[in-house]
Amino acid sequence: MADWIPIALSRDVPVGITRAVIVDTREVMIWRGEDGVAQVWEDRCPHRGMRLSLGFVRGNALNCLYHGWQYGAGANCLRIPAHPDLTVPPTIRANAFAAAETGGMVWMSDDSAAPPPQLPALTPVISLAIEVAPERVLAELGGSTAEPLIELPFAADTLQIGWHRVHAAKTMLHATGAGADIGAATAHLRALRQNLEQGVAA
Amino acid sequence: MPKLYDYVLSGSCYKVRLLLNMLGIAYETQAVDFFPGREHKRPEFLALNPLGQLPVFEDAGLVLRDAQAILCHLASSYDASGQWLPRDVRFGSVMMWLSFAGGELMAISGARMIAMLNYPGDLATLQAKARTALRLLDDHLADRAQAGGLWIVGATPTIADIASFPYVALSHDAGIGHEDYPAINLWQRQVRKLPGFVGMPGVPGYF
Ligand code: FES
Repeated sequence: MADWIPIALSRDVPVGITRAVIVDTREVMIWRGEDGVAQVWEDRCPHRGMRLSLGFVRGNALNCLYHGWQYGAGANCLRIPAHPDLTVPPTIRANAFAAAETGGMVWMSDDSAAPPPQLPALTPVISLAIEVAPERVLAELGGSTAEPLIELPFAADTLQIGWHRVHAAKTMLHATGAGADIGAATAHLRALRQNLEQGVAA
Repeated sequence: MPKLYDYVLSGSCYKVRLLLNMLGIAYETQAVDFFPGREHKRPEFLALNPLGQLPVFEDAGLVLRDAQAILCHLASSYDASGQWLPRDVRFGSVMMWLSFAGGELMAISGARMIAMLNYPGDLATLQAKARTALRLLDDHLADRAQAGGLWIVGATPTIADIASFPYVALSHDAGIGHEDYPAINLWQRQVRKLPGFVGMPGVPGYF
């Protein structure tokens, strides 16, 4: 897997929310507590495997929906409601990925050795799922599967579009722009989505 | 007292329970053994609703079927503010999305019955229809958000939101997550924060 992968627009993960994402067939989730820091974890509770994206955020902690195990920003389990007096062993942890935010997107990495890219702040446009293989989407938009961003000229602007592979036949785009007319850029990208999907169906 | 013929696992009955709670209306329920009893196909129930579908709502001699129609009745009779079914330029849009909630979005219900209750049917076809409907709603909500709006129609929640929420929230039961739908993910959280919100099995009551 490439070093750093953009998986969502920061705008779509405000404080207090969970967001499920499929990244190269893996179930991943993003959440953001009151400290404002985006966390990217495997979407699986270490207790019984419940999807953590179905849980809820309180303060700076994520609570699993199933039995209420509570995890802090460092991914360690803070509290097990069935055993309120227990000091939770530090080995009980959610599986956290390295996470970063830059260019208006949330990024994840399997390996935090390489620093995340440094991008200027851009205006979020739209995230779109396209039921077409990434290779084909990138060929159409003039990008490369070796690069996490696509530069797409649109009107007087250049859209910076992060992308991630959902699975072999689905791609998710996360588009941002400098001074773009957001409505027009969104309509343009939806038209591209339709063309690509019709091309696959044809 | 108004009476809801109810099945606890029904997303359509849940539409009605949601608005009853949000409007603070006292009501009684009569449980209908939809599964496995198929009580909704028995003569006594067919006398109330010849379509043999839930929910049915009785109110002061009126007998109503169809969740969307019942939402209209509740808003019309009990919501003095007029917020839930606005009688202005928003009216047609609310009706349009109500139709969508009782129409295209119900593909999720069909897929869920196959996935959960082993009902006969083509799961893949219904899931594809459900995804088409969810994408349409997500595109709409993304446009609304870009214009600064949180709700399906206008600046306040309406019965269009209430009618759409249950099966969107229950789509997990039909094998469809919300990964592809970031605007739906933001909207459904707003719905859960509304005063009087209640959950149902599969939809937690808090968020
Ligand atoms: S599965 Fe998460 S707390 Fe039990």
